[in-house]
Amino acid sequence: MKNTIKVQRAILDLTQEDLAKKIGVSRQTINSIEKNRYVPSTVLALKLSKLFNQPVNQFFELTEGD
Amino acid sequence: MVLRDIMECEKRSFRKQMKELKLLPHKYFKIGIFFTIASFVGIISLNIMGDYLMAKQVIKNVMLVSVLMISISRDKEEDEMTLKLRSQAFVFAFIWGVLYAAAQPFINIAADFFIGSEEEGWSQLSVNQVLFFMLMIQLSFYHVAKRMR
Repeated sequence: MKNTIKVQRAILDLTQEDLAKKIGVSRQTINSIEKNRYVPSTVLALKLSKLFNQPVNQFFELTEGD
Repeated sequence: MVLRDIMECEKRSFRKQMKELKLLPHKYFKIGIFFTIASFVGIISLNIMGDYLMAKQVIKNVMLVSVLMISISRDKEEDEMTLKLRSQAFVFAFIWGVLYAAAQPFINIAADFFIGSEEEGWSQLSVNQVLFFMLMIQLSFYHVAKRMR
């Protein structure tokens, strides 16, 4: 699974800390998601979707191994 | 009908329990650390003072519960990732605990053989020893994984 959270975050001009506060997780969790080390739950993905105002599959994409 | 209602109620309660790991508030982390240190000092003192088997056993149990308290108390910033890491740490600790309990008696026999110790025979681990080992593995794995995330 890869994602473009970092890009979406840059579009909204948010720091990792800002984004973390908005969706109720820690900054380290955002960092892990951006580096593809952690796949968030559906609830968290939907919170991101709501914040970015985009469908989940716009910023999360399956890779070959998934 | 009544049986079905009971089963449904049991299922609901089970699902609720399984939904997420219930943790203690963060203040129990500090309380756990305090009692762990206190019981550690207590055990050392009793070892110096002499044989107080009953007191030692009570302190060992207090230490075990204190470490459990540290292990299941919430972090300051608890989220779904830390919960996942915590669950993985429990799985990891359980596997290593079983392996430890299975292998340790053989390691003791091998060590006795190589050292040439006169104490021979099968030594069984105490429950406290295995549980303490598992909790230590859980805490180490969790905190290392959290730092490396």
